[in-house]
Amino acid sequence: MAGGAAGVFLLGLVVWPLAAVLSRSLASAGPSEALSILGRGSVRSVALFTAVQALASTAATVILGLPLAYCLARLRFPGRQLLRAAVVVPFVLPTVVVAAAIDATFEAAGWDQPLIAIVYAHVFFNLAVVVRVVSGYWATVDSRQLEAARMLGASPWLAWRTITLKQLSPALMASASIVFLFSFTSFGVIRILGGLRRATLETEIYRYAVTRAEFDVAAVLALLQLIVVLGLAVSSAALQRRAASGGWRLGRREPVNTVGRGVLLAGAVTVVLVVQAVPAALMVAQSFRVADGFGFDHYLGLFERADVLPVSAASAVVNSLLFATGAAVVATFIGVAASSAIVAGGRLGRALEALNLVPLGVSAVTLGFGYLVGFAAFDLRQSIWLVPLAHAVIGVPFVVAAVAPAMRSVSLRTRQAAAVLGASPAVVWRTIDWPITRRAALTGAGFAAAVSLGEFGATSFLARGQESFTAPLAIFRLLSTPGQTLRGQALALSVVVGVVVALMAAFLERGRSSSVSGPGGLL
Amino acid sequence: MKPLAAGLTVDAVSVRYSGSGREHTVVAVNEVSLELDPGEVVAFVGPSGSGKSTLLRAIAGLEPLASGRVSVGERNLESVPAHARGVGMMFQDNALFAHLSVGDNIGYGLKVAGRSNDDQRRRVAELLDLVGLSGYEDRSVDQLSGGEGQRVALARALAPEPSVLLLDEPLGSLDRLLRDQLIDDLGRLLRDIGQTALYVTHDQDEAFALADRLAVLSGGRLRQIGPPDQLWREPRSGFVARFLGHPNVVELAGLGDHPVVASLRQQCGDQPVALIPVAAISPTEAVDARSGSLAVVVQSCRFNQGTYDVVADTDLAGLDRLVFRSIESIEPGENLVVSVDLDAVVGMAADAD
Repeated sequence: MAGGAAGVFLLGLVVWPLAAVLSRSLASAGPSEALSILGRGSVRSVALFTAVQALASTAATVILGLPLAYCLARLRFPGRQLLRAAVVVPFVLPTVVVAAAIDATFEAAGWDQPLIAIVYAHVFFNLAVVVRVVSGYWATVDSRQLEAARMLGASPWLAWRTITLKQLSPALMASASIVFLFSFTSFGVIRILGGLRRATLETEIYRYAVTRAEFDVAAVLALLQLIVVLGLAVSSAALQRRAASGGWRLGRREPVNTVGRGVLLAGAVTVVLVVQAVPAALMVAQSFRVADGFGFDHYLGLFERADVLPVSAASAVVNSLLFATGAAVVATFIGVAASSAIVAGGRLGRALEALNLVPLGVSAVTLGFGYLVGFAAFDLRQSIWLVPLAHAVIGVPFVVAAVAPAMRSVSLRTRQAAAVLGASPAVVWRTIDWPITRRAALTGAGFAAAVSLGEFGATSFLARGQESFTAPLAIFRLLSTPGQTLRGQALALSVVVGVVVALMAAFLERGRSSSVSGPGGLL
Repeated sequence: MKPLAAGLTVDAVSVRYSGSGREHTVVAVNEVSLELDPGEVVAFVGPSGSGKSTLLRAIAGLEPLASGRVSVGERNLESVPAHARGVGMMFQDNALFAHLSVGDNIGYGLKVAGRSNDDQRRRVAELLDLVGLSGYEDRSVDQLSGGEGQRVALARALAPEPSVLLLDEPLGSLDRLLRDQLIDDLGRLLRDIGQTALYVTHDQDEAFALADRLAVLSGGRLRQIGPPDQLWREPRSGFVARFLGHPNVVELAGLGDHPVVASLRQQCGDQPVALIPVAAISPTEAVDARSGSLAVVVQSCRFNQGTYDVVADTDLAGLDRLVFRSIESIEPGENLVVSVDLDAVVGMAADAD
């Protein structure tokens, strides 16, 4: 049974490592020891900073994303699809690439504000979450209810607050809790932009586990992280369901024919320009900057091995591409198998539906740490296979998000019609299900590959030696070592990886927009 | 509980849509004028695209006027935004607030107006009673049936005691049986509380049943306005006659030579279009041309609500067919004589546009 195989895969590569972290934190440290670790002043201030930066990121993303979601959902204007793509594509950009772009921006401006830089980077990614979840829902809010409110004596602002905002609030809360989750577990961004002074639970888990080899402390922090993440994931899933249960009818898009709408649209475009376009442009510009003007030196430098790297940056890119291919293949097989079980329903389907989302919510660092602890006995850690397997696990939710709705769209009646026309179940699958699933599976595979190309957190734990050194690791290493040449090469490498991933994502978005999955879909 | 019954004046109102790009502007409503007395119910009827809904929305303040003036009582609404007009509106598909209970939907306008909680509760109960849904306060709106939804929407629109109530095809999405029942209820209710109301519908039966006066619109213009029976008897143009359901409307200029035609022309004076009432049919061979008889051949006969709708061919050039009712079924192919009630022939203007 394919669904069973997917279940075993996810149990082995998601649940087992997390259980290993859990048992490690409770068994070897003990509850009292765990509490005393959590009571340390340094741990408490780290936890506080983690929450503060996540809250600030969430507030900024929701406030800036709201006008964008409105414009994309309710207005009709030339370039709407382009604006949407510009907002949505950065979601899959590698964290280290985005962090590099923000770093370049703050350096160019001469600002030294780690907290603001971190929030800036989180907004860069997560605008896509708000736009996806909220605009999908906003498009279905009935504009006549707004008119009805006005006819009952409510001013436009009061009508918007009491009708639209109230109806949007489940979607808003859902997107806010997802953004908080992603910001709370952010790793690459914090390590690059937080410098030495700013640490979060995520970076501290890494530091205790890898730099200081204090596994007990790392395990307790991971446990704390896990509890927060699971609580948030459950509540956001419930909110998303509530948001998705609203009426599902697309409202008419209005032309931009009032001053208010014009101002909102201008504001939304400005947000995209300032938050996303400017950092990207500055990163590209600085990657060409050499001592005596502009040139391709940093790009050519990628083919020679820098002292701080085990291999040349170009070979790291090759490694990344190989891993991405392997991870995409594995994730697609598992994702398609899991999707068919999920669509079929039943206990296995429901279990897989929940299990499949765990890698999305649980931080990559916790997962990587779990591999380190959980597979210590098998000596799997030395194998370079662990990297693509971890990437595959993280890619599975993206495959399921693409494939399961497509499978659901094949209606029972279509299958029955084929059967009545004389097709056997195998023929029905080959002639009806597969042609529809195939496109979605390829889309999912593409996203899994894109995510693998940018994966940084788990890879930091698992990469060993030259064969498993990936491009994001190279960007981080180059960026965190002082020196203008290395910095230039880091930016050049970021541009290369960023362009590859952005092109992939833009291409996949195009294929996907034609098969809309309904309101509120995150992935 | 009588609202302050106010009259409504619509004075030479035009509404234009500016098409995007190089499309020309569309004149949706063209210089329409009419007046409603306090407590009067007027129905706008017309084919889709006739501008009737747009006119209603313009009166509500939801569409900007290109020119003209709307006033309620003595109050000019020119620069008054929709929410401050004191005008109520009921939408097609009810547009109930999906996130609020039935009671909160009805109470919305009262809450916005700052009425006290007790006051709101009392008024909501009163209105639910009025529309026959007592005790529905705490229900969720998605538990309501189509008819219940429209009753709640009506109660919601009436709650703030609007001076004028606008109804935009409020029964358009309901099935026939439910609609017939609600038409009666709605008509009685509007009259009982003396509500000035404008009612948009594409269904002439609904309009006949509800309205004190009918306003027929087409192409953005008001074609005729008057009490239902008057409109039926004296339609002013071929379009109005056909739209109200008169089957035998004919252009006199195209008719061939026949004694009946001469009588028709005489009856109509210089009006170019005539409405031909069929007085009697008889199975006789004796065609008495002077009294307005026509020989016809039955083409089809269809049972309809107790009588038969008969379509018959005539041999009169320019009058291909005549439609009339019969108490008995008639075989297609049968020859008949149809008498035209010459005294009741109505002459009309040609169709404009």
